[in-house]
Amino acid sequence: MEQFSDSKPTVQYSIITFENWRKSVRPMWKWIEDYHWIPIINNPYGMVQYQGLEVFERTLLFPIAASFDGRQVGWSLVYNISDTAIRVRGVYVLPEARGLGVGTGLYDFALSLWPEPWNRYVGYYDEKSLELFSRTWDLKPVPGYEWRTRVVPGQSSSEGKIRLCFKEIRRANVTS
Amino acid sequence: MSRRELANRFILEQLSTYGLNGSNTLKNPPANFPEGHKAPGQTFSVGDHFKFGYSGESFGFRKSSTCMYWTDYETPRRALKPLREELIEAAQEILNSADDLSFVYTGSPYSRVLARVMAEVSSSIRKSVRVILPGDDGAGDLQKCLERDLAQVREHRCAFEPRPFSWSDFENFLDRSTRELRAVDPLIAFSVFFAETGRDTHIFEAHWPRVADQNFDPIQRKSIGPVNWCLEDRESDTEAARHMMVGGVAGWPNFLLTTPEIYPSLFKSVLGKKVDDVSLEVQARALSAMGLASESPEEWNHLSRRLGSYEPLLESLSPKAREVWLTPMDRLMEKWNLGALDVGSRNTEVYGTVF
Repeated sequence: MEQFSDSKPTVQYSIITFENWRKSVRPMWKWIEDYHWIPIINNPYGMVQYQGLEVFERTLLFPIAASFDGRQVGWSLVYNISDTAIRVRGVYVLPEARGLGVGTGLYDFALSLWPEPWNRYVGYYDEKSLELFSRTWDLKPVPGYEWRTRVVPGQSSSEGKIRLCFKEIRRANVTS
Repeated sequence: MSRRELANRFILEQLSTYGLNGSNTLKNPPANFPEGHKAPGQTFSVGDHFKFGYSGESFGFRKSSTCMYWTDYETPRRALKPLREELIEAAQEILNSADDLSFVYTGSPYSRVLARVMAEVSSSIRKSVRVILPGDDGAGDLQKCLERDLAQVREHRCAFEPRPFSWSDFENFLDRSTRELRAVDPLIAFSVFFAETGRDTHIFEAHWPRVADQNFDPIQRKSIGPVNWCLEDRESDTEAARHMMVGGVAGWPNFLLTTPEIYPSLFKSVLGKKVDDVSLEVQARALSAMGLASESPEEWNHLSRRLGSYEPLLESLSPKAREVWLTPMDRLMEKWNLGALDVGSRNTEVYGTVF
């Protein structure tokens, strides 16, 4: 497989189709045998604040990819859980493209897609990711929330601890 | 432009492409699940106030692998009455809706409340109800349990109908109904099993509303944050309605959802109280409102264990039919003009606002 370590290539971020995203991130859903069963959105621990048909009338989801020279190397998906908050659902970067800032770039691109009044990002992180993104991306644990046991759907055993984190979305002041 | 207007404008601009049903999202192969349609005039609750379906379509069937199951509740039509009165009013609605009514008495808290309220109302409305009493070698004598539950009712028009059955017949039925309906709930299937053999308008067995604190970690056995109550509606909860659609038959899939007032009244009964388990608490309050003892009969415990033993089989026969839809109780209680279920910070502080 091609490596990207010789020189720092230019990364491009774009919105892709849900089908493209779902096929690409299949390795993250080890417990799902067919990528078609990866749900469109999920609602871990009751994050989604819409009720009834609101969720179909107000939720937007942007599957996104990071590419080097036209080749996709990283993926994520962002959707709104309310009219003011969003969630990024997993970031997956190919092993050979890791360590090049692709993950952080995907987060930044995901957040940049949302205008006012979406001003808050929330998500669950394990200890290692929280340490990394609190250093590089201003991620903070939500006050009053402790570590919880991560339970993977369809898996009987738990997979470590995760913690609810947030980041305020700050936009450049565009008023003249 | 206000924040609400900004949000509405962005959503409107993007929804047809990036919405859950947008052109960029849905490209799924058929799930090869069975399909049926709601017959004209067929209803599942008064005015179909309780809605359910897949991917934004009401009262449909799962069409593809990633269809999202959803539910919705309407606001009460009038000021809420005490829980007992709401249950009686719902029974009156049902008894006035059909001449030949039946339900299965299993000894479950749900069927005990149903039996008691139907017995009380049947006399005043002068209509009879058939109460099916399933019997097998191990189920014991459900009739004695029923008589005990109705002991305080001076006069009623409940006709007891003992119905012997064999578990092997039920297992054959499960195999067939799983293929027809993707049924995964053995309790509801048990009710459908007995309903199938009659021509009555059947009131199906159902579950109590399940409310769970999403910030309770069951592995660590402790709360990891402020309480976050959500109503958990399972795809399997509406199996009886899908059975009715496939067969084109009349019935009441869930007595507790008959009118839009019962659920709010159930939750109002525990409003502002510090309770560990909202689901159990509303169940206890309904039993108490109808003058029933809180202890379940041993016959029900036996039946419940036996039915529960079929869950792994049903799940293997019908995988992916177990989606759970969470509704934030904060928002539901607001819609019903009730206060917060519990004291604590509102989840909007963390998860944002819906305008």
